[in-house]
Amino acid sequence: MAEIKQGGEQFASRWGLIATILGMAVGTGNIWRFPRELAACGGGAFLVIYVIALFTWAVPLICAESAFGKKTRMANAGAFKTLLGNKWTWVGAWAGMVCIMLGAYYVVVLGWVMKYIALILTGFLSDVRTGGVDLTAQVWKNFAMTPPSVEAWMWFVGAVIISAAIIARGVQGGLEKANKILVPSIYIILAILIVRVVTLPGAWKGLQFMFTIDPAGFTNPDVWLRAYTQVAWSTGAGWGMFHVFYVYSAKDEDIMLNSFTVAFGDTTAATLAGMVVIPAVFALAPDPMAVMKSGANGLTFVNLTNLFAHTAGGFILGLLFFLALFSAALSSVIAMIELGTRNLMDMGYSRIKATLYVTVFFLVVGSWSALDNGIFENQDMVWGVALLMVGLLYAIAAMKYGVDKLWKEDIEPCSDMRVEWLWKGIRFFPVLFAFVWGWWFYQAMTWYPGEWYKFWPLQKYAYTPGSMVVEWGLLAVILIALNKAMAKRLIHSNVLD
Amino acid sequence: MWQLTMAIFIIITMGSFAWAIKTALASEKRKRRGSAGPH
Repeated sequence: MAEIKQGGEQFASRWGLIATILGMAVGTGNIWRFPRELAACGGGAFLVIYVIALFTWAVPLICAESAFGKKTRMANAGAFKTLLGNKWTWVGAWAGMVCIMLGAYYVVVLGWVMKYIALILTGFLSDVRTGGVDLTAQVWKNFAMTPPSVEAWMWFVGAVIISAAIIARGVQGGLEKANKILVPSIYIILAILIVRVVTLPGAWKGLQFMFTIDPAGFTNPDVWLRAYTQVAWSTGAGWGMFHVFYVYSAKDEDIMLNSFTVAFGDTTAATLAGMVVIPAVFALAPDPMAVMKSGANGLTFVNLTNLFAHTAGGFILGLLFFLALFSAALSSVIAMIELGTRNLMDMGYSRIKATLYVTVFFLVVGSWSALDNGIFENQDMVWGVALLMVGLLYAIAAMKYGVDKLWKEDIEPCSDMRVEWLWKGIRFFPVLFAFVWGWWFYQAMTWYPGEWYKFWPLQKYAYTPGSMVVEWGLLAVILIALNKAMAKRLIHSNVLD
Repeated sequence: MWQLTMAIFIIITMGSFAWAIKTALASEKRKRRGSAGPH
């Protein structure tokens, strides 16, 4: 075990921890991806499979990560080293770095959302009333889709600075305080939006589409794989971030109940977002399915912006929608910066220095994605699929340490909800992983017949298995080379008094 | 029929979320009360 005490930061209350893990989980994936996936899968059957996936994929992984953080009081690299031995340090570091790489391009989205809040506040929707969807498409293209996207880069820099400033203030003064405001605001704004949207003529058609169960969906493998992927990418289970927040948890924190809370809290946010976006599109768009299939950016920054402009009260509706998106994105970005910061603090750096180094890394690596959307798309694919592998690493690590041991030592003793079979489901995770990850990998091969192994230029081969393997492998090689040095420095755990 | 599905889904997801938050916060309140005092 680690021996040097380092500050002993801790959440002020259980609500502080719950708000923070909810803030991390509830992101843009809930607001713009969930409704799209639901629509692509034809409605209700997706929802049922989604709930099954919550129990079989998300809850066991969240429990495993949380137990690692609570047990070792160290972030990803330090915990793998402490629990499994020095040779595993690079594996924990790889898991953490995947999340940091993801964070570096995800901040770009926060910058986009900030830009659109500013646009709405400065009367953009009035122009859209005359210019229509052609104008929203043109503005979006000029802003973010035409490299070098200098303006998008400037908003990205602003987003990184705001997020880093929150993390530099520490666990209670920054992370916890921000999430206690951001997280309730997401739910409140979405609830207000639902009230407005369901009163639009024809909105009920969207609700009907969303909640009609077509039994054929249950026999369609594509619906199962999409629901499982959505759970993996929406709840944040198995990304290593729950792990980091439990470094600051109380000694008797209830892992099982908190995992259940965040799984259903995340689903609640996604359902509310679905009940805003789908009925709004069905009520306002001439061809709802074409809008739902227009991708995350097309749906949000082009089509929804256009629809808001043509609705009574569209200014408030649009502003609230982008504010919800902002809260969701910011609460996720600060979690990713905290992950990098805590890993460096475990190596003996002060919080301020660690935050500074992570901020510089985000600025350098993320700039590439901010300036060129082709790179953004590549990073989204490469690190999104890698996150599934991080989940597998946690499942393997839990099995190596001992599933029963973790239950008896860290989960069961402090829990108001002792559902052992749910936790033990982690033993089946590798099978689920093989299907979901294999499906993504296979799909990526079919998108590039004869060229699936190519990776350069990244913009051209954004989604190839070649680019994935090269980028994952490069990161692994660097971390293996640094394994000894990292293992030597990782001795500063967050020991509580 | 879809209205029934909607009601059931909302009760299961949002109801479970509300129950879990309530249980977590009540448990913390209980623990704090238990640990209060001069020791």
